[in-house]
Amino acid sequence: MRELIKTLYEVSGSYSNKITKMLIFDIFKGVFEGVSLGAILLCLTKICENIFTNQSILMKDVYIVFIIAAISVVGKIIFGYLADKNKYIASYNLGAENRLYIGDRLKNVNMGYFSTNSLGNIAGALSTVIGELETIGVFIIEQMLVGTIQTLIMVIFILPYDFATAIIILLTLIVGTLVNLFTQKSTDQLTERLLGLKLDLSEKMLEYVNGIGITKAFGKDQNTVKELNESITKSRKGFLAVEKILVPTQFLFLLVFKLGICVIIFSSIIRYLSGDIEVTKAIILIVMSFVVFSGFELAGSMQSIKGVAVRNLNTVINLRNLPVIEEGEMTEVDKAEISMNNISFSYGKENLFNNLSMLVPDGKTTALVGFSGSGKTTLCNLMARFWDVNSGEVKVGNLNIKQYKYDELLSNFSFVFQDVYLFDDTIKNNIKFGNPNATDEEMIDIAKKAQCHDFIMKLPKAYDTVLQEGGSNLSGGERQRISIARAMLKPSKFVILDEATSSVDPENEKQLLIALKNLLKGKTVIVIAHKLSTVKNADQIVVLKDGVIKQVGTHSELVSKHGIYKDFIEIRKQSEEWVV
Amino acid sequence: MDILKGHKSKIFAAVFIAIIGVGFGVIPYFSVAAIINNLVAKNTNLNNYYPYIFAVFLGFLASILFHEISTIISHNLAYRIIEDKRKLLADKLSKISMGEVERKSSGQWSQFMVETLDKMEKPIAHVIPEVIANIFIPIVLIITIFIMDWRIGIANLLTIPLGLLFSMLMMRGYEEKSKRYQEAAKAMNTTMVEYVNGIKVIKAFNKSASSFGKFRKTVEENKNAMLDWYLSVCFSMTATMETIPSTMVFVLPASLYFFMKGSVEVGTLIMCILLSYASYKPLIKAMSHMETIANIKVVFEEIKKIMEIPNLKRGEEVRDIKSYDVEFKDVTFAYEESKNVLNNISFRANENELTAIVGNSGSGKSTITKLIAGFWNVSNGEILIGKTNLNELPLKQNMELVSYVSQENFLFNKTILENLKMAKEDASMDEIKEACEKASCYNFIKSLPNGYETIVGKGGANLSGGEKQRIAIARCFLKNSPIVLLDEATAYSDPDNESVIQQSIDKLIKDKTVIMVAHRLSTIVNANKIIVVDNGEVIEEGTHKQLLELNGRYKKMWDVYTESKEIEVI
Repeated sequence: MRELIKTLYEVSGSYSNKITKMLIFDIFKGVFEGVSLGAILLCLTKICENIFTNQSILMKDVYIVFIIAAISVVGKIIFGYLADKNKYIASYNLGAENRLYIGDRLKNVNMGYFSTNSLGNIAGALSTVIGELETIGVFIIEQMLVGTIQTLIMVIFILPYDFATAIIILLTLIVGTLVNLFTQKSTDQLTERLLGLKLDLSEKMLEYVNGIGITKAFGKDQNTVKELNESITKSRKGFLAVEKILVPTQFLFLLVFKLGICVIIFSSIIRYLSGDIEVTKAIILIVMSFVVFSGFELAGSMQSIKGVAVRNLNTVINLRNLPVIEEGEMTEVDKAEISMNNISFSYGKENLFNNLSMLVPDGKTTALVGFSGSGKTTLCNLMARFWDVNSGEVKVGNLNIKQYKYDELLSNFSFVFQDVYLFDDTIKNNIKFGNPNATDEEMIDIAKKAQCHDFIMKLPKAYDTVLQEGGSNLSGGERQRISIARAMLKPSKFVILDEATSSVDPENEKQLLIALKNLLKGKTVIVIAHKLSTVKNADQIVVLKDGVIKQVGTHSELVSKHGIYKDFIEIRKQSEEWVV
Repeated sequence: MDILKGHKSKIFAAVFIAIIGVGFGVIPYFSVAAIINNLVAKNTNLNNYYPYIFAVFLGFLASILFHEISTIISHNLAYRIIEDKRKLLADKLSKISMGEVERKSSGQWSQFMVETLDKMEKPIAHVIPEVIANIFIPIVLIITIFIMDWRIGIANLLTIPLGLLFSMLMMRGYEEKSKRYQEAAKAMNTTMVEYVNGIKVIKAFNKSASSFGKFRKTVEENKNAMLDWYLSVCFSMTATMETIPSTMVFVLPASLYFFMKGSVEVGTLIMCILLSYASYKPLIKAMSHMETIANIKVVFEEIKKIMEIPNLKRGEEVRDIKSYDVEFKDVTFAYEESKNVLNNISFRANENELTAIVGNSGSGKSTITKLIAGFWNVSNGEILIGKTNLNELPLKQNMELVSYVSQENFLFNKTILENLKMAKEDASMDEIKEACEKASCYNFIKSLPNGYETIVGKGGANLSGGEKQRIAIARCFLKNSPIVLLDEATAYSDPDNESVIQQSIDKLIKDKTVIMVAHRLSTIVNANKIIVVDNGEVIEEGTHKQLLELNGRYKKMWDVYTESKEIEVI
């Protein structure tokens, strides 16, 4: 509980004072709740006095009772309003601030961190998780604290009136809290277990759906179906088991307060019978016992949604703490050259590179060649600082890449990858994304060079056609070419190209190749090469195996020597010439 | 609400027990009234009080006990329903066409069947006992007050019109404001998703600042719209919520007045005050659950929609297939109504021959292979294997007859051996070894520390794409079906594996009916028959040589293809 409040204050940032304000207004509201208790007391006193001392009740007394009760309502409305207002301000600012904070931080996170998976999770967290937090985060704290505060205020009201009863109430509160705390630990553990069950179910479900084609093919009596069904049943049993622990403790919690009421009734009667207190007081205490715990019971019922709030808060905290990279000040790259000096790098435990050195010369084409897993992609990632090396240095131009402002460094690179991301915007804006100042003429000229112009003109609104879902209304080859046009319009010095092996139909293939050729003109190119002709024409070929550079040279230098390169070329030739 | 079918008795039990709990909850009030009457009568014998104190306690105990029992029953019910629906939907997925399954990504399916279905728990498990109790308690209490003293009963109702008056203020400008915040929320979510998913591009183009600016704007507009709405209704909402339960305002003075007039006795009076104090709080609690009830409706509808997807129509009995020619007779097919992907297609792929299908992207060539693989039912016309209509074959037989090799190769997160045995449960180790050798995966499997017992990881994550594909092909060798479909089978495999995979495919298709979709035209020059598809129609048909002589579409494609082979990007 304390931790929950602390974390919530932490992520609320500059609006945490609104939460405090809300709580203060809630206390005032509690005081006015107490006032209504006062009205009840006064009313009962008048009645008892009438019965036992024959004092007559006047119309004035009726008015006074009404006025006190009315004041209580008005007070509750006013302070309730103020508390709610602050609650909403705190909640929605909390949402907005965290979205902005995390969004801003994303700008400076290592590019390597973003896998497709992590992006989906981040997007989900920004919309759903924070959205949920807006509705329940502050609310939960209010409910849990306010109920307790309300009851405590009642205790303060009662204390001067009857010390013994106040103590009974206080004791009941303490026992109730203890029961709650005791439960809390076991529920937290169970919640953890449930998370595990759910994860397992998700995995099984995903596997089942992914493999449904195979399940269909080989019949339903497969193990996967059995395993899925087992996991579904296990998850039900697990959730029910938690409920079976929660329910008795909830029962115990409520019972404590009911017992408290009974103790007050019993003690009041005993004290009256032993002449300790007046009959009036006994009656009033008995009536009060029914009223005094209502706030706290409510607080107890919040336990069940507390888990959600804690989970959401943790997600937000994790995102707030995404590791950001340290960047330098430099903006200008003086020379289109990349050098790697004695670099070592690992994703986890084992080093992929050990003291590797290489040079990507200015204006030349460097082809990276090697079997899968040899480190080609990682090498490219390090050049553009998607990841940072563990030791050694990567230099772009004459400076270590860490000395550049990260965005400025990246702006010198164009990437052509197999997965293309286009925005849900017009084609024009997508192409101009890299250079909004370009004129329409320049843009169209580039589109022509990227072999997009013809198909764009066939679209209903030509360049003003809005792409849906990242361009799902275009074919893969068309999306590729738009991304090439986008890259061409941007004045970059380096192009990193992961050459596609995917075959598109001949017409698309031809246009894609022409577009690429145009893009690469005059740039320093690093290409993960698959096509024989690309490899052959490269100014420099770097042959990698298991993270080690085995051969460097031109095609004519390497092809005559025995080695990996020769084997590689042989295999490529075979597969390119395959005839069924 | 047929979602709840088969669970009626449990629902009834949960509701019934919840109501009994509510009934017991009234006992303490009557008992306290009796205690106070005794006190007023100055009864000094403790023994006279015991039964009532005991009754207060028992009433409370029973009311919580029954409430909690009802909660357990309703949770049991909720989790059972969720379990049932999960199993039902999982089963449904195996019955509908593969194409329908593929309309959603596997992530979306899994998300729905795990996360979304979980959302049913709260409404079913909590709403049944709690909302019913929370609505019943006030009704029972209010009626009791009326029975005790109808005038106080009326006073007890007075806060309701007052509260409603406040809530009417809330409705002012409701529509435009709610429209604004709904739109703002939508805009924000779209922008955020785009910002996050496009972050790599945004950074690569050095557009962080302006993209973030757009992000900031929508986030702030969302906040402002929300706050604008909430702050404008905040007062009336709070006022409503606070006014309705504040029955003391009218009940206290009224009680006092009637007592003054001597028309009500003190026990009754105190009981009425207590009942009135407790009468509306549960109602407020019930209101907080209303939202979850709306949620469940959405889930129910989604389930219904899935259950309404027509099952793939397939025969029941295994047919005797004599020959393995595949023939399309006037086949028309549409994924969505009115948009035909295939239009009256007819062609024949002979046994022991290679039939290649070529055409531009979107021409429908992949759809042809998927239809043969049993992904969908055709809309019109028929596909024959031998002389038998494909629709008359049980899906299982369809699958046994046809091997579909594509770039996507799914492996279950189990051992390699288990994955292989899916194709043939009783395969001997010799058979498996032979299949693996033919698929060129025997050596790499042997080199793994655990060999065949190696767990492939989630979706085969522990293996490379090429290795996965080779295991998938080994599966095809084990299955040994007479018809093989190759849908761009080597397209995305990593280049160093391509050659090995090509060799395996050469072995796999020997003496089979082979239908192959290919872009690299040089691969299929030796095909017995090449079918050129355009816009869902067969426009040319013949051998490579015949088609070149025809000087039509194929010739054009071939020319472009040879040109593109000449292009050197650097």
